[in-house]
Amino acid sequence: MTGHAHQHVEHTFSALVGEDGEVHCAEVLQRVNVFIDHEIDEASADTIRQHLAACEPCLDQFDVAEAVKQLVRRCCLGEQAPDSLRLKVLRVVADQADEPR
Amino acid sequence: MTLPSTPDEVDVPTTADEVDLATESETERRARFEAEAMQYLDQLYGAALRMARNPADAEDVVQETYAKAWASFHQYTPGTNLKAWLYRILTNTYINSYRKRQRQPQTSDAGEVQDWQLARAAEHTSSGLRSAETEALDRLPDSAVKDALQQLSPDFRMAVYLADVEGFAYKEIAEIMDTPIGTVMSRLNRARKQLRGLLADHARELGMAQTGSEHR
Repeated sequence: MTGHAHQHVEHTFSALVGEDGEVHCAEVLQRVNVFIDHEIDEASADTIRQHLAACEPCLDQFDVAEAVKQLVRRCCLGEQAPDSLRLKVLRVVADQADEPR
Repeated sequence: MTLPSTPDEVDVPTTADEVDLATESETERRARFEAEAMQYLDQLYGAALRMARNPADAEDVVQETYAKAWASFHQYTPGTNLKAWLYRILTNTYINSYRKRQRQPQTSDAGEVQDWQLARAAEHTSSGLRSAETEALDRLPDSAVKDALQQLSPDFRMAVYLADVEGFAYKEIAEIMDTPIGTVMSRLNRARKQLRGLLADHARELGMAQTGSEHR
């Protein structure tokens, strides 16, 4: 998978560092999803980490978002297709392959 | 907070150098399909289980997906993202079968609005989750999480599944769902808010039950 080829989506948000040179909660919280999904550039991610280290309420939001993401992952991973389905799929492919085109 | 770990990645054998599509025989192509595409069967089935209403429907969707994939495998460019390609076919197949089943779209729309309002109501009463409550999340049975996912609209559920379970990049999700990246982002945003609202209620019930027994 092309895990590194993430297209950054920074332009859809207001600037992370405000005109006053400060990083405000509102801008940090806009980026919860792109942060936990690794869809943010490293510099912005570092800025966010610095903010989270000093801002308990924001950290709380990020922790929850990450926990829910991991929960969904944990609950849905590891399903196994029944052998009967594997055989059916192979048979469908074999049947189609045998048909003259 | 701990940073999310990179999703487990399967090494996909790259055969781009070895495949000459012009001279490849049907038998060779079939062997290549079986070697490369069949490895995603479990994953596609897992996704289909979350999309379809029951395991039998999920099997049908997966079977149809592979039939279509094989039929157009000669158009697939070796060495490109086969997993995303298969997911795109799966998604199309599911959407088509889903639409076919919805003979009365107005009724179904009403149903979805209800789910959405339900989730919104949950958000309002519980105002989401605080991190102190995430411990309760870990005690939620898988079935509760799957139920909550099931209450999301198909588009929202799919976006969350592709991002969280499969670890697809937004760009890949956009291709799979045939939608702009901005739409992927807004779907994820709204889906996760709804999910949090739904899970918060479960977690709170669980948390309250535990607190209650401790104090008695």
